[in-house]
Amino acid sequence: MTPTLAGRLETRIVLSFFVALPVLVFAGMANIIFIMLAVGVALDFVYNYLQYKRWDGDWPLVFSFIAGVTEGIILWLIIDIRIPIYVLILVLTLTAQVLLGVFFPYRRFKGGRIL
Amino acid sequence: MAKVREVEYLSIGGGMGSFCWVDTLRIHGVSFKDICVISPNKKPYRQLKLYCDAIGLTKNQRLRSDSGSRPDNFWGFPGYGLSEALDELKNKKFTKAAKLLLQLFFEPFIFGYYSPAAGRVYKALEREAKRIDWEKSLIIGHANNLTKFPDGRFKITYSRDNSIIARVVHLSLGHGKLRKIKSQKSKVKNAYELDNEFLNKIKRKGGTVMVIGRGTAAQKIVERLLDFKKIKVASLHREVESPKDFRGVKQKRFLSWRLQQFNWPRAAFGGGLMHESDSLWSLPSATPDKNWIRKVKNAIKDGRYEITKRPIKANFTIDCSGFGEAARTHEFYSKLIKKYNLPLTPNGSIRTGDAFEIEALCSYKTRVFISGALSGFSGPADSFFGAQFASFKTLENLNVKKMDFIESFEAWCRWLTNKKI
Ligand SMILES: Cc1cc2nc3c(=O)[nH]c(=O)nc-3n(C[C@H](O)[C@H](O)[C@H](O)COP(=O)(O)OP(=O)(O)OC[C@H]3O[C@@H](n4cnc5c(N)ncnc54)[C@H](O)[C@@H]3O)c2cc1C
Repeated sequence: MTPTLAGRLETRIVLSFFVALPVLVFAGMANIIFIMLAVGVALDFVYNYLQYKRWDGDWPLVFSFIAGVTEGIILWLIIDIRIPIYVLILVLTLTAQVLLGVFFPYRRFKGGRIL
Repeated sequence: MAKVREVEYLSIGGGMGSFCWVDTLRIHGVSFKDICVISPNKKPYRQLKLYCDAIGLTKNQRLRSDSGSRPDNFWGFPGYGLSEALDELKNKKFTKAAKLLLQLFFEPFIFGYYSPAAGRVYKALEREAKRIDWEKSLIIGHANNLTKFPDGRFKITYSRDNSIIARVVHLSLGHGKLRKIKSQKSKVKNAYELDNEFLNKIKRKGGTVMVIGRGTAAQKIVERLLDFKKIKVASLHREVESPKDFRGVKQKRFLSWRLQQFNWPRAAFGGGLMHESDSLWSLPSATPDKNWIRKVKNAIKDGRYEITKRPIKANFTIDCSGFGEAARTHEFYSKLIKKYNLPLTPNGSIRTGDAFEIEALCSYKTRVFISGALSGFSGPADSFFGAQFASFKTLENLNVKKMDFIESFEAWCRWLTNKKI
């Protein structure tokens, strides 16, 4: 599945609220969800730009992983996020992203859009 | 006169395009009793297998699409890659399983993109066909003609003098006629008509073999021929175009072979490039298979392989330039185009709307869709993913109720556990 910018943004918002937020609430740091989302959304524009520099215009799984690690480093630098919590969020988000297709089967025909 | 049978949904062809369409309808709750398929073949993959076998892409060889392009699985998850890794785990082949998982994680780097073996796809289709009662919808036959009634319904005549009436017709009749080149003195054969007799003759007599074309078929044939001793291979590649597309992004080249993993850039398969098109994307291309490249490089060193811009004197010629792209090269489509004066695209396919519908034949309550090879829709329609994409689009056009996320999960669980619909 290859995302479009709209697909990326929708997926990020859904996964932030349904996967990252519960973990953050549990860790007592729910207030950082908005900073996390803002950093992610800003980077989505960069990812989208880079994606279309590739011949295949796709976004391999390993890129999602590298992007996740990059976002983690940025969040650690600006708000000193607790690393184990972030690693848990990253692993759950990547897994959820793969499983999303089971619940939203039309996504893959629409560049990853959920709506 | 006996009453003519009437159905709601009718697919003509019974190949990959038909299968994906019927599978999609079945998953969305349409009963097999409301669906008919007219096809000369019992198995949906029969035609594909014939073509693949002819070019040497036998069941253990890998196809060209990605892990998630699963014509037997509407969700595309788990992809063929994950299924293969799980199978290896079940067989206690842990190294193989680990390698596959690493490949899937790192693709396209290190181990390249994953593609399923042809046999895995056939087997999976076999399973899904059973699950959706494919054969119960099937009428073995050959469609001759489609006629639109004044009330919008369609009558299809098939085989000798049978007919059937339908409200929604889906056409997926595969490729047109094989291109024929004017033969020189050497023996000429089309790649899709290759048989062992011809190959054995080449093996026995030796000499030079000219291979025309730059697609998967040509790539496979060159590989096969280089395994024969006493043979020189020459690829005929006439024009060399700029490797850049409209985005300014460069396509990989190996000599004058255009290299790309999939038939189109991957984002054209439902991603951000799905509404874009570039003539370079759809031109025949070969996969960046490292072993193949090594083999060709060695053959060049040994003086056994060359690329030529003009036809040369050869003892044998194998034409891999594929099928006619124009819909007129298919008998059924040709009749339909003439009868209803159907508008065509610049490359000669039948023009369709966004939902793969032939607008000139549709009415308020009835539809004719065309998908698979020769459908006029831009993008990679002629692929497994393309067939599912078309099915999804027709679903929207037909107002069949889409699944919510719980229904989708339930339907997927049924698929996973191989429960009938
Ligand atoms: C060698 C090869 C390798 C490929 N590899 C890949 C790959 O790796 N990944 C991928 O995504 N795609 C691949 N493709 C493309 C993909 O298989 C095709 O897009 C797909 O098979 C097209 O589906 P179809 O329904 O149009 O045609 P087919 O699957 O060929 O089916 C057409 C059917 O229509 C029947 N028919 C014809 N005329 C009539 C008539 N008058 N009445 C009734 N029935 C009729 C034929 O007998 C046939 O059964 C490959 C294609 C080829 C040729």
